[in-house]
Amino acid sequence: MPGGPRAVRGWPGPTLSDALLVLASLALIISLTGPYLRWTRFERRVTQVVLNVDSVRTAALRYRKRNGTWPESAPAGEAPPGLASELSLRVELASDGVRLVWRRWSVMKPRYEEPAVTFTPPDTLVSTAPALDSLGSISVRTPNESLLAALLLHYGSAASFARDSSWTLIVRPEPRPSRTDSIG
Amino acid sequence: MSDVPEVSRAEERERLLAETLAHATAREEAFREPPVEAGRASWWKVPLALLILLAAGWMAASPPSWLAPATAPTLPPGELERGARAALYLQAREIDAYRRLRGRLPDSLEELPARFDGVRYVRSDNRVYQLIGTRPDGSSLVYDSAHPAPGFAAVSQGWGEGGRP
Repeated sequence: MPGGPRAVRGWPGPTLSDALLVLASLALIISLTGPYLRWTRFERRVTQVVLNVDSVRTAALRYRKRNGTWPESAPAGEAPPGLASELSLRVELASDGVRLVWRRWSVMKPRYEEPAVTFTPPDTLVSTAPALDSLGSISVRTPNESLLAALLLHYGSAASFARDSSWTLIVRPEPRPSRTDSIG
Repeated sequence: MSDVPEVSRAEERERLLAETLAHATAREEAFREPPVEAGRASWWKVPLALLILLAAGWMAASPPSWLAPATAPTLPPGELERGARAALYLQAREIDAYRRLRGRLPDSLEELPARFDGVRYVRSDNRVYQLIGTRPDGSSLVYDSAHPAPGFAAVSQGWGEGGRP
């Protein structure tokens, strides 16, 4: 290759200004792609957490349908007793600073008032509406406030709430279809 | 004595050798020193690099809207206080259920099957208790079972209750 070695040998090499230009270009590329990469990573994380929450909720509803009660409460990041076999292997209850917590609540029904103590004959029919109710809840613990806000947006603030680095979804059985729904 | 005639004299050979070495040295020096034109031609690189660095820093500090697909969501104002109320209300309803089943209030929240972290429980007597949580600003939020504020029950309106237990 005539002239080649002579040209390479004649080049004085990269100067300080060349190196500065390359570094500046690299910094510009990083600053241009950084926000997009951060956003896609955040979206991927939200999708993964939503998938995990939905999996736990579906498994808990299936468990309740089969056993008539919610699974018992479980420590943070652990599968509720009796639910481990229901959950897919892809469900991560503790990963990357995010931990899911399942709780079973035995609560009083809202707006339930104790019946007034009045005299009633022994054969009187009194209302026996059950005062106790049960709820399930799935909490997501994470210091990432944006993730909490994204979960609140996804599930709505009516059925969920955020507090103290955690977000909680109230799980209720799906309502039975009414008679008019089943007609036709 | 050799029969081959001399092609050159010793002085001639030394002169040729000296000329060759001088030529080689001159070429070597020419390759080693950067041409003056190259230094003059790259004067724009430093200001351009500084300009690009400035733009990169600006975009990293406050990325324009066309660069980021969307900004990460933030919690709406008041949401953390609503959440603190919801947690206290749910905890209170569990304590009420415990009292109905066992006929007494729990001595501590550890007796309950489910509880929220960061909630303090104070029992006044066998029927009245207080639950104390923390607002986002650090002040205390108190649920008094004797006179619960109406704001507590309001947070549970969307929980889909009232169906089959």
